[in-house]
Amino acid sequence: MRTELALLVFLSGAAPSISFAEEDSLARSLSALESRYRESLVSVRYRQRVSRSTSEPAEEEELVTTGIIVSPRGVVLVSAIIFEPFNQVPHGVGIRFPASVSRAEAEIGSARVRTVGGREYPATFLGRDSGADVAFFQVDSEEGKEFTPVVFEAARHVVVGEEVAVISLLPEPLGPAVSVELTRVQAVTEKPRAGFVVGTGASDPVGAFVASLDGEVLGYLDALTVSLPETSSRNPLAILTMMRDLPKGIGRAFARPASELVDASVDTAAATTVRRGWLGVEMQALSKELAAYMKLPASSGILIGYVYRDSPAEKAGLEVGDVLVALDGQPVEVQRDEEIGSFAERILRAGADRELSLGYLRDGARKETKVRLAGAPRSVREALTLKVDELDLTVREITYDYVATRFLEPYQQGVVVVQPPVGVSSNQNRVAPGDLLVRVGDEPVADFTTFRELMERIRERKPEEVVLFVERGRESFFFAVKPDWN
Amino acid sequence: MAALGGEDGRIPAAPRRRQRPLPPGRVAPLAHAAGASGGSLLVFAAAGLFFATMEPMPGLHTLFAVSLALASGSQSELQDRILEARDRVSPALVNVQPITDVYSSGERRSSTGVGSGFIFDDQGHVITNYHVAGKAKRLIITLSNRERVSGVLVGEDPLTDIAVLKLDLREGQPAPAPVTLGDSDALEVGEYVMALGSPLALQRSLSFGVVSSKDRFLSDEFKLPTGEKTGSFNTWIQTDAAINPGNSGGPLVNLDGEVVGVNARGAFGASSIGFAIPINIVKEVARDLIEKGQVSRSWLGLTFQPLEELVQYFEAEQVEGAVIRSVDPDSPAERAGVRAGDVLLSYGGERVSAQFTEELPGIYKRIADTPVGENVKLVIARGSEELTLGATTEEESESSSGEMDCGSWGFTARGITRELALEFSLPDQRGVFVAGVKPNGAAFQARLFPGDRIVAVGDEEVSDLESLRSLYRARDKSRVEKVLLTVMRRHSRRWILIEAAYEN
Repeated sequence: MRTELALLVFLSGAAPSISFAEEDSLARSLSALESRYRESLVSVRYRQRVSRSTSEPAEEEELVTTGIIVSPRGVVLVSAIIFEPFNQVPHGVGIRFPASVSRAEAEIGSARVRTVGGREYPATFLGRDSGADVAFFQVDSEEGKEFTPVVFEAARHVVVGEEVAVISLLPEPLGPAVSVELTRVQAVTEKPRAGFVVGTGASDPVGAFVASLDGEVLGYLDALTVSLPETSSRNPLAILTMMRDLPKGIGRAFARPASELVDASVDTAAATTVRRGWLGVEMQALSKELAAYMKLPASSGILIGYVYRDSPAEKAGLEVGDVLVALDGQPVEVQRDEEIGSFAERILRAGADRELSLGYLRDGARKETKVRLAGAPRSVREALTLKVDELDLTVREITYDYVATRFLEPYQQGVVVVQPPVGVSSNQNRVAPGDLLVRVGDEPVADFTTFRELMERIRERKPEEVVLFVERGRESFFFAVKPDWN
Repeated sequence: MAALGGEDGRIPAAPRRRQRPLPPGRVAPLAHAAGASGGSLLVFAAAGLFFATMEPMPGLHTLFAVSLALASGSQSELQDRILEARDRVSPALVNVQPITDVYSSGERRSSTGVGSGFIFDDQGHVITNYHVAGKAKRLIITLSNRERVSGVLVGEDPLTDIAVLKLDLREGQPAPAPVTLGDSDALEVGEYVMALGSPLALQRSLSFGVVSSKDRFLSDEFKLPTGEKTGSFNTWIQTDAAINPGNSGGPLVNLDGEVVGVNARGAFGASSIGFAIPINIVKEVARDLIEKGQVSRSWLGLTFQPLEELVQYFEAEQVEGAVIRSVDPDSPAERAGVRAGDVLLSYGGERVSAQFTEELPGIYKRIADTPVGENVKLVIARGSEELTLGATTEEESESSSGEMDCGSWGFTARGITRELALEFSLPDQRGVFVAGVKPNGAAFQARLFPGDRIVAVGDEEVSDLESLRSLYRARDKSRVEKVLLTVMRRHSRRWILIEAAYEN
């Protein structure tokens, strides 16, 4: 007992040391961000038919919003807020149609995209991605014009207090100019939407993005849209839009995690939008020291630590322990883990279905292979989720990375618990996030869709008690929940 | 109130001793107690504070007194019984100071602690808690006459948190008289008990209370400070007699002066709630440890869940049996065809029931007590079917793993027990687990992380802690400069090149 207490004291006494970046290096980081992204933010002027009220006929108006270049060929991403140029109800709370009924789409007319450098291009409206709640324009640029895109990838989670930069577009007449603002993450939210809040002085930051000081894109500043269950259950068509004006003038803005936008694409024009490429391996940098110790004929490269099942890498015959040394003829100059990002970006940007040649070392011998990239499957962060209010339970689909990190069999059945329900159970039989829900009552949960159907059926039956069967590693247990049918 | 009266039901007259001056040996001198608490910041600080506030008060001998506001005659007779019981146990009460290896922040350090214990038999065996002495390198035992002797560890059992020590007596030196062991099954809720020991290193201290509950189940989320699961095989005696750090291993005594439990734990954020291991379990465990050096238990790979939570699901009439919540992969139960969700109706011909959590230890103990290698008949309800299956028990594997300090590599490593594999959802028990990485040390620089699983050193496979130990020793001895570790970080393999740091 005594050692236990002593340990507690020891732990509480060991405060983590935080090192702050020095002023000059901070300035350097911010300036680097500006030069890296100054061509990536554009102002988008578009014409749209807008009705001020239901009784008035719609009129065409010219409006402006901030856009982000997301592909070298000039695809521009904008917030879906453009479909609600003015909220129909005052104070930023309005009822709009569900995202799938995009009535405003056809009403967006011609557009002009203006870069910070002052160049202006005509642009065409491509469409919207209802899932990611964003819309796209395509710049009709001259032949061969390459843009510098912002790449949204499944970024790490942010923590409250961390220093980030808000990269936004200064509105005309001052701009367009890129503004880089040093700020901090003020809150990380789970409900009603996952994301985080940053402080900002920008007057209308919607359409801007948040990056870490070393350039990693962390989030997309957007209006916060929430659906309120009590409204949606009575009228499933109505989704309440709240706080459309939240970011304005109150010194803070809501950022959606970058991962939400990874797979954003326009169904009707998929060919012209980005779908990030995926190789399907876990990577480690090959340092000079490691290469020397392993007596490899290379001084940089990427060690493969894991090959995901059914991934392009597996199909190309890559194995754990192989060292990637060339991509499309260019050497892989990675010596530190921090440099893997640049390689990953090349894969991302190459896009799905692109065939690449890979040079690698196996047992010291140089080999070549061709790999056809796939579109990245949804990872844990992008997984589909379902909230079952009556059970106070949120689950998500099983993703390829969950299967790997939990050492599960491929094609594992079930859904993953995101937010566990409160139920009558002893301590050791309490559901925790990450547990695998494999059975509801006597019904096996094959996958996410099965689970959703099961829940529909349960809603009709309204049982007094629902017994979940849960697996956690090699353990399993039952968990009884009393649903709230009111 | 069975134990209140004497044989004839009357409270026996005991000589009144309250006014008697305490013999010098009974007084715990300030310097002695404070000195014994070195090594632990908290205990030292707490003891310092304690004495600081006590100093103006006269008479340190109150340390050994029981403060009871006694008025009536029968209460003063109760007082006499307390003193008498105290005198029966006190000579056998010992203070245990283990010198233990503690692994933290990637390094091994020596640490001293203080616990309690009592003489168990006339060969000089001492009972204490596993968490007090189980991992001790050296043991200093202070007898009730304040003589210090060293002790050796005879055996340990983390699953019940019991350790048996033996006094290292000089030739011809008699062992102090042992305690009298009581019957914990005969205890009653409300019965008077007292806890003896060295709370906060304050030696020979006594606290008094009642049995608050005798079938308390502490779920196996409760872990010992060293990480082992404990308490699956017994319910606990809960008492309001004060049990504080340092009481661990000391006896819980009834009014007849018989030891009925071994005090083992308090509760954080609570007062007047302490827990003792019932002496009847301790008797069995101590016997095994003394005779065989270990407790041998059978394992089937089953865990159970009380029916109470699931009555509706398993139909209300099914009030018999124990719900099987999980079946370990590759266990005797799995091979026998048992599935999670089955209800065990009888085990080896005896009916089984677990409606409430406190009934679970009984079932686990019954399985554990089955001879290893015996084929047991399991009658199982599966839906409306009733099946009879046969499972052959296996020996329960070690729940306690060793830990080692790879000093020149800058980390500590732990063997992977079944428990650890379960906790971290590891696919198997292969390799060793990195428990701590020394800040700014060699492994830290090479980006080894706690939780990494080492599977190879150079070209040599690391199957368990022993193999790492020999590989480390060989390289440490010949001062090998660079070592390549192959580790698994979750599912992904990583290669860690360590530049060993040797002290000159």
